[in-house]
Amino acid sequence: MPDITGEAIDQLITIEAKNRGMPHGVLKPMYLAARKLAGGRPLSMVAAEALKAALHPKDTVLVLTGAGYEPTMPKGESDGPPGAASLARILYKGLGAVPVFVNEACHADPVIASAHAAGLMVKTFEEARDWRLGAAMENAPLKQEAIAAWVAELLDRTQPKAVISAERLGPGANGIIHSATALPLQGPDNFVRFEVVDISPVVTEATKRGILTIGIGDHGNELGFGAIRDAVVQAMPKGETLCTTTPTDIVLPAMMSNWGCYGIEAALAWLLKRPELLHGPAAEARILRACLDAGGLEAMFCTTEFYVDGLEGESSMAVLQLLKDIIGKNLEGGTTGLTH
Amino acid sequence: MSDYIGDNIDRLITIELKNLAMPHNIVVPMYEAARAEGGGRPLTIRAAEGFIANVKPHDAVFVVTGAGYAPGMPTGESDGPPGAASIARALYKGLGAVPVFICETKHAGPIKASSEAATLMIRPDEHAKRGFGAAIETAPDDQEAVAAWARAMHDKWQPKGLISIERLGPAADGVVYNATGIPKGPETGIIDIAEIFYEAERRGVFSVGLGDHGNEMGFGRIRDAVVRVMPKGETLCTVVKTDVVIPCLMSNWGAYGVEAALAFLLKRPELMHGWKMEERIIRHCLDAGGLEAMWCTTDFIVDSADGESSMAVVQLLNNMVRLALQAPTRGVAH
Repeated sequence: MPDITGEAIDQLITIEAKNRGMPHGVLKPMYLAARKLAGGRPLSMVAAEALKAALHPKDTVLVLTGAGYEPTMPKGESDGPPGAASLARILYKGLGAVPVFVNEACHADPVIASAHAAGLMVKTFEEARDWRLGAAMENAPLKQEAIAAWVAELLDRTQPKAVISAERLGPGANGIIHSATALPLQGPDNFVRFEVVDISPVVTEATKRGILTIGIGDHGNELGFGAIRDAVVQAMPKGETLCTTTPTDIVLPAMMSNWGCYGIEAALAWLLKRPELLHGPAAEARILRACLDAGGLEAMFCTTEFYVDGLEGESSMAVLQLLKDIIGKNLEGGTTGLTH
Repeated sequence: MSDYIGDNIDRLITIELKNLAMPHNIVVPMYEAARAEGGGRPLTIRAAEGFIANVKPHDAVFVVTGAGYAPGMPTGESDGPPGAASIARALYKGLGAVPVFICETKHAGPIKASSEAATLMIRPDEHAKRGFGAAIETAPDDQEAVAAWARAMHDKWQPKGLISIERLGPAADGVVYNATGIPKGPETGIIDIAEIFYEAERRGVFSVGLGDHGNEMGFGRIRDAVVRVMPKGETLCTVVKTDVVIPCLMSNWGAYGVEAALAFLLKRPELMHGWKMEERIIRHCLDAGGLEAMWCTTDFIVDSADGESSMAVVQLLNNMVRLALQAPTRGVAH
C-alpha cells in the first residue's frame, strides 16, 4: 500500500515560495536527503508513526522552539511557536501525552499565547502531569554554563519519551549558532544584541538516553539537520558555516517549521482516524494572530503583520484547509459517487 | 526563476486528495510522464510560455470545456468551467487575447456564469473581437455536422492558441469514456468535438490539455503512462493529443497553475484571481447547473474536494507569484 496520505502531506508542506533575496531552491534537496535517511518514506508519516509508537498516555514529550532575538525580534518569531503549539496539542489530545515546551525565557510569551490560542493550556509540570491540565513550560537558564546540569535535571525529572524541535537553532561546526543566512548569533561577531543560549544538549543528551528525537526546520541551521549535513552544505549558501552539527533521529525539512509541524499533526490525525484533531484554518488564523500579538514577529521585517517567514498568514490557513481535505478524503468511506 | 516557481506551482496542483474508491495514486505518475515527455521542464510554465509566444493582442484563443451529462449532470460539472473562466480572464487581461469558449450547448450556462463571475463578460462575436470580453460558440447537436463546424470555427476565429479544461476525448475505439471507464452512450446526448483539436493540429495552433484521469483531450500524448497508471486506462485513454498536456488533481487547478505561470512571466501578479473570486466563480458555476461530480448536487465541492481547497490553492498560487515578483530582499532580520 503506497503512502498516499503521507505523500500528499509531504508534497504540500515542501512547496517552496521565497523572496529571491533569500536562499531558495534549497528545500527539495534537503527534503530528499532526509527522506532517504528515513527509509525513503514520507517524513510526516514516519515522524507521526514514531511519536505514536513512543508516546503512551501520561508520557512526557519535550517540544523545543524559539528563534529570533533582540533587537530585531526580542521575543522571537512567528515560525516555531504556532507549529510547536499545534503539535503539542495533538500529542496531548490524541495520545494523552504531557507536552513540555522547552525554550529560552525571552520566547515564552509567544509560545504560551500560541498554545492558549490553540486550546492548549500552559500549566506547571505537576499540574500538567498529575491533573492532565495541558502542557508545561521549561525556561532554559540564561547562562550557557548552567545548561548541562539543567538538561540532566530536566530529563531526570520529566522522563520524556520523545523530544521534538521546531525551528530551534543549533550550533554549527565552530560551536556557534547561525541564522539562515549564516550570520553568527553568538560569539565575538554576534549579530544580535542578546546572549543566545544553545539548548542543543537537550537533544544530544536525549539521544544518549535512547529517547526518540525529531527535528523540524527549513534552512539547515535548526536542530536535527546535522543528520543531513552533506545535503545542507551542498544546497544552502554558506551551508558549511550555518549547518548545525546536532542530528535527530528523524529530520523534517519543510517550507517553514510550522508547516512541518502541521504535516506531522495531520499524519497523526490520520493514523488515529480522528480528523477533528487537526486544527482548522480559522484556528490557524487565531494562533498566528496570538503569536504575533504576543511578540512572535514575522521574520522578514520584524513586525506584527500577518506573515510567517515572508509568506502571507492566509497561506498557512490555506495549508491547514488542504491538510484537512487530504486526511478527510483518505479516511472517508470508499465511494465512487453517483456517476462512476 | 521561472522554472523554480513552475516547479512549485506544478507540485501544488498535483497534490492528490481523493476518495480511495476512485482511481488514486495516479496524478503524480501521469504528471511525471508528461513532464519527461515534454523535455523535463515544469509544465505550467511551458504552457504559459507557449501562449505568450503564440498569442498577440486581438488573437483568438479557443477555451474548450464541458464535462458531465444527463442524468446526473445534464448541464455539466464544477470541474472545467471555473478553470476555463480563470485562464480565459488571464489571457484576455494579460495578452489582450479574444477568448472563445467552445462547448456543447448543454454546458453553456455554467460556463457563462463562471466567466461573468470571473469578471470576463460574454459578448456578441463582434464585440468580443473588439476587446469587450469573451465569445462563446456551441457545437451542433448533430454529431454529423461537427467536422464542418470545427473547420468553420477555425476559419472564423483563426485562433492562435487552444486550451482544453476537462473536456473528454474519444478513445481508440472512437467512444468517449468517463474516468472509471464507463462509456458515454447516446442517452447522455454527448457530442464529440475532437475535430476542433484535429483541425488545430492541422493548422499548427499551439494547444494545451488539462485533465485528471487520462480520458481528457490531450492525454493521447502520454498514452503509455495512462495505460500503465489508470485502471482501465487502455479503454478510456483518449487518442487526442495536445502540444502540452498537464495532469493535475482537477482540471481547474491545472488552469489556475497556467494562470499563475502567466502572471509570473508577465510580471503582473494581479492577473491571478484571488480566493474570494474563486469562491464566487465556483458558487456561480454550481448554481448555474455545473454540479459537483460525486453526488451531482450544488454542494460547494469540486471533484470531491472541498470548494475551500480550491480557494486555498488559489491563495497559495497568489502568494507564490507575489513573492517571486518581489524585489529581492532579506528584510531586516538577515
